[in-house]
Amino acid sequence: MCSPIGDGAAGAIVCSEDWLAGQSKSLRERAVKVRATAVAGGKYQLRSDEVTVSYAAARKAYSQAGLTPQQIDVAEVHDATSFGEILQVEMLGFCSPGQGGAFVADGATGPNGTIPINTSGGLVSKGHPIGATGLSMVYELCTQLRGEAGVRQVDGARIGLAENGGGVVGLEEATCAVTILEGMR
Amino acid sequence: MRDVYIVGVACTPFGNHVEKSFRALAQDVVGLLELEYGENGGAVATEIDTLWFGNCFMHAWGQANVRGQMTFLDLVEEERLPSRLPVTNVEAACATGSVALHGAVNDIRSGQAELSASIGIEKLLLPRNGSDHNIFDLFLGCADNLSDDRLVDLYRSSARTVGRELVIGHDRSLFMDTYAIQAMLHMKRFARPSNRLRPDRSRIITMEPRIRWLNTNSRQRSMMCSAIARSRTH
Repeated sequence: MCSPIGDGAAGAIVCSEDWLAGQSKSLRERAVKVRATAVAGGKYQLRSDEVTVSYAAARKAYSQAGLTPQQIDVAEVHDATSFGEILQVEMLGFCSPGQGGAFVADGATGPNGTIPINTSGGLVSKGHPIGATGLSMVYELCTQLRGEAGVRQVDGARIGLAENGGGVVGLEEATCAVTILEGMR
Repeated sequence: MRDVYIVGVACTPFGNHVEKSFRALAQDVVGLLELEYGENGGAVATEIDTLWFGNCFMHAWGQANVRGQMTFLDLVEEERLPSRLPVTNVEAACATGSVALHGAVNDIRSGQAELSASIGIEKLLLPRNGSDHNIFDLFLGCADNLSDDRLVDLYRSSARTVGRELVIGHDRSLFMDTYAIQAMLHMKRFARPSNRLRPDRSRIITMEPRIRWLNTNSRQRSMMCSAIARSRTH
């Protein structure tokens, strides 16, 4: 399956700790901390047995956040086609290279799995209005980390990761951004 | 680096907004961001120090440059966004929205701003009554157009290693073919006698529709609801 063509808009407002300190208690409680935003550039990847740009972006983000893949509670990954989920769980370190298919098939990325992925439905289901997609991932993560996702809620979700790739160069994306967020509940 | 917090998020439904302009979608998303702060929302929006705007294909609608500056003009004139708001336009193909957020976060980290917004807007459904652009050709702008045939040659040869031929045309997205070939290369590399990915793929296809009904912003959900509505009118 591939993501449907559509329109849309998404946004996020970020602030400093000083600005947040001057706000109401209710606003402070719904704030979500940015643990990492990292971007990596693609290269003319000619071999399919090498890690891709999302691996590089994720390692920068994990380093910045001081976290490991095993500490992520919920993730949104770039599944412009369904294969994206299988590849990205490997590149993000949720499972070993080559194990993505079995990892997904075993339900690890499902709603009650060890690392629920694309609780928004992913690009394949929700759509992919290109310039808005990455911020829609952040929207879903914040909804989860605030505990406001209703029937989609991942119990106890505290750390969320978004992986958002763009363009194509060789056998990988031309760029990739990985964002890691932490709920303040 | 200073710590950074997200204090407002918004997302419009994804789907067919062909009747809405970029400015109308900007009004929608800023309105949703204002709602995040309750009664004080409008005042918060006017405190924004910087705005990072993400978009890829606005040139197909006649606005090739200063995209964000033009998109938010109404909101600035209505004083819902601050006067003289600095807008930085971001384009990074499908990663545009996250790179826009990265810019806003860096503004806070560096001390350039106390409050910064990142907003992405895209209209992929082109006007029905005439457009000089083809959406699949627009997608090609996200590939390497500075090297003659390098990308196509790579995927053509890669496709042959898995017994396929790369097909190119104005009625299909090259990206979907690149993903398909990447998937087949992955299957070949990690092949099992039982062809491991086949059952996995069916599992994903059955999982995603189950979730999509739970996300009220989902494109698939709106498409299905539209189909149901149409069937009820006939």
